[in-house]
Amino acid sequence: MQATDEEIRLRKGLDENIVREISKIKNEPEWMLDFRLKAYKYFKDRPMPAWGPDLSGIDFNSLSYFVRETSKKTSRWEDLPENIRQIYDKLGIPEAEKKFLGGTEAMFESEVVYNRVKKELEDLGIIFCDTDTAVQKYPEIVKQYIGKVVSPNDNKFAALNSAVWSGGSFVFVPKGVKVPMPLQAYFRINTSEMGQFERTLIIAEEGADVEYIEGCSAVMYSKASLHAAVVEVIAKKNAHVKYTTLQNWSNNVYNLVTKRSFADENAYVEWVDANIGSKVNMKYPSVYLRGENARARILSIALANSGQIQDAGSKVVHMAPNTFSTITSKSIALNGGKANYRGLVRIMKGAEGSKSTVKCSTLLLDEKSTGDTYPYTENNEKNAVTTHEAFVGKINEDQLFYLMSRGLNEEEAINTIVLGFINEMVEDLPMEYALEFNRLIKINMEGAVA
Amino acid sequence: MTTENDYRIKALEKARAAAFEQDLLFKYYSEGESQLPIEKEEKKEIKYLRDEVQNEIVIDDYSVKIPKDSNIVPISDVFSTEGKEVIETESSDKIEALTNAFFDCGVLIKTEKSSEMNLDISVQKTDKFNKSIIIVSEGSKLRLLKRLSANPSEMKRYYENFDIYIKRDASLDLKMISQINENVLMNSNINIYNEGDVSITNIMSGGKLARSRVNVFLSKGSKLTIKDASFHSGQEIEDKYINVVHRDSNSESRIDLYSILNKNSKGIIKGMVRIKPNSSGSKTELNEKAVIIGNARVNLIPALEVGTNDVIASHSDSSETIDKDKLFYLESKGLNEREAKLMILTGFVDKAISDEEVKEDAVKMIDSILA
Repeated sequence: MQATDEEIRLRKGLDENIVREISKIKNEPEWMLDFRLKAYKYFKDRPMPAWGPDLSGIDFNSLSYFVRETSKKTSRWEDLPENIRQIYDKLGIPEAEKKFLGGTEAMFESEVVYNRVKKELEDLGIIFCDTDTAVQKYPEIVKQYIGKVVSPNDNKFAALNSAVWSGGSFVFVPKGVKVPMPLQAYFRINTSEMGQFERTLIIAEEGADVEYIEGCSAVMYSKASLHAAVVEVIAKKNAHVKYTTLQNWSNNVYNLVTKRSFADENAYVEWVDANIGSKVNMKYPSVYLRGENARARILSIALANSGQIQDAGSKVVHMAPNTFSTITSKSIALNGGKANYRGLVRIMKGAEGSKSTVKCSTLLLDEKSTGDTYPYTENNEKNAVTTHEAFVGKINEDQLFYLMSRGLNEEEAINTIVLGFINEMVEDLPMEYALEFNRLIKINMEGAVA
Repeated sequence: MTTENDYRIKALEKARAAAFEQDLLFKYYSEGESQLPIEKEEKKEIKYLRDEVQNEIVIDDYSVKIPKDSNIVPISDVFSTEGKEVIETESSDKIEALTNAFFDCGVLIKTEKSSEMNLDISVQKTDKFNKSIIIVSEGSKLRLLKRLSANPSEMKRYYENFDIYIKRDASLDLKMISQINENVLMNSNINIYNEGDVSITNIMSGGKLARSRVNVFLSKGSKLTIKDASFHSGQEIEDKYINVVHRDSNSESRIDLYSILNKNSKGIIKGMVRIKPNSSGSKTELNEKAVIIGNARVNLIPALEVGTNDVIASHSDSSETIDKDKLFYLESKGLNEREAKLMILTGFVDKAISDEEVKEDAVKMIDSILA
């Protein structure tokens, strides 16, 4: 271990001592260390998942599990891959932001904005901080909820995250409070380390309402090849939580994230999930509808470009009567990319009157690109209705012909059709995100027309 | 050249080595491993005595128009006829391999080139491992109606393998009606050559465990239609897996799988259409629909793997119960509850099972599971 007062980088590889050291560095209470150690054991005992995309490229021994740097200046701007610098330029991102996104400079300006927002939130009794701070300042709340939605033994990567987690957001919204603005991890990004193993916990008390947005549309360049986060969301009675993600990791990253939420009586949980980057992305946001009349809406978009596998989908478990779920998935594959949908809808016995609708469509832009769809439906309750429909195919030639007859060239016509295809997603994003997202899709589409 | 003994031993080795559910995608959606005496059967030794193998299939002489020089021979002749060339299959299913190791009844049917053949088969004595091979020769047409009323007594299970080869420009109209008790384990491998056309209508009722695996391989310009309906009640379990592989361009498939499940029965309906990268111009539609009544449960998995973009591929599934409004309406018109349910459910499967020959049996089956 090399350590100065502020800068810490643990040796590569993972064992029990590393887990202990992480906990010690963070000065964590005993219960959190126990939580980590138990999780580490689960991680060790669990085999790699045998289903889904090939994960054999992950070498757990070559990763650093804890890094804390004094500033965000982790590398030189010149060291960033050329293509990433170009994308920043095309997205029209301001110079300062570009450097921050590339990991070369901290975005100090955001501190000012963050502090103003923080004050406003605190006045309403809302807690919004990084999860490490929450463990120190609100141990009782964290202890009560952490690992309750995603058990440390849920899967190998949830176990890994539970053992070595660092950073992530903690949001607690008191009873009846409506958060006046979307909370963005973006605001507080330089107040804690942006980790590979962040742990996010959102608790919306009875009647609370919160919208949370993470990620940004520009490529997040990471030198580390594994990003394994866990997100836990609890929406209590009558609460509403909307969680929006724009994931655009650089193309060397395995992005294996476990996102899950509980929705109690009459609660409403929305996951909006856009996946553009990474080498392999496996992400299935899920909702457990635990109380009567609870609702879930999951919208997921994936774009798989050359060399990428997007294995996205969603999972909803109907555990109570009159629960509703809607899942919409749109995938685009081009230049030999692979866009998969993998989803589960389970209706438990007793979830009478429940309804689930799943729609997924995949657009394959060229003959090298592929898309698989694996929808699983389990209905154990006769008085419940499930429906699912899906389509895989290429761009409609009639639409293309029509647009080209109106004077668009082929590339413009294809862009227009693709943007129409994902329009539902874009409409759901705050405007600044939507603009960037559209530009990003266009950038990815460059060269799609042979 | 494969000798019969080699073939059986190889099959048994395959059965011993294979996992009960080979496909990881369906590992958690597979039934029956615990309730089948597979281990006991794997331990059996192959003592093949030619004389003991008998043709156990009863062919109804009255309704079948078998040509004088019949092309139907007992499966025991398979190694001395053309059948030996096609007896190897690509499937790695454990139960199929087991059946290949121990088969002791069945038929080998081969049509003449450019001929038409019309055949009814009924299978009754079924304490057996049944293997049948059907070869529909180039340009020929075969209509085959197979009735299975399996009531296994001693073995408590019935094994059946069907290997079907549809040669160039040939067509097969296969209708299968199965009413069974106890466990039934069926495997089919269907190879459709260029421009071949296969239409399958299948209805099934009963079966303590009804496990079926169907693999279809489509070549250039070939066409497949599967209309399948199954009806279960009591504690019955249905575990069905239909795997369709589009291997070449311009191939078409349409698969409709309907299930009606009553009481404590459970249905696991797995569909998989794989479109290989060189299959441009192919089309597929996979639909799974289930009606569940009582405490019945259903798992529906219509999966697609699409390897190229010049295709039209769609799939859907739905599960629901009998619509109360429809029931109320029919009851208000004087039908009793069972009649009304029968009418609604008959309407439900009507889209899949429109064939008059099969429909009558389907209605009887629905009526029997409503009892």
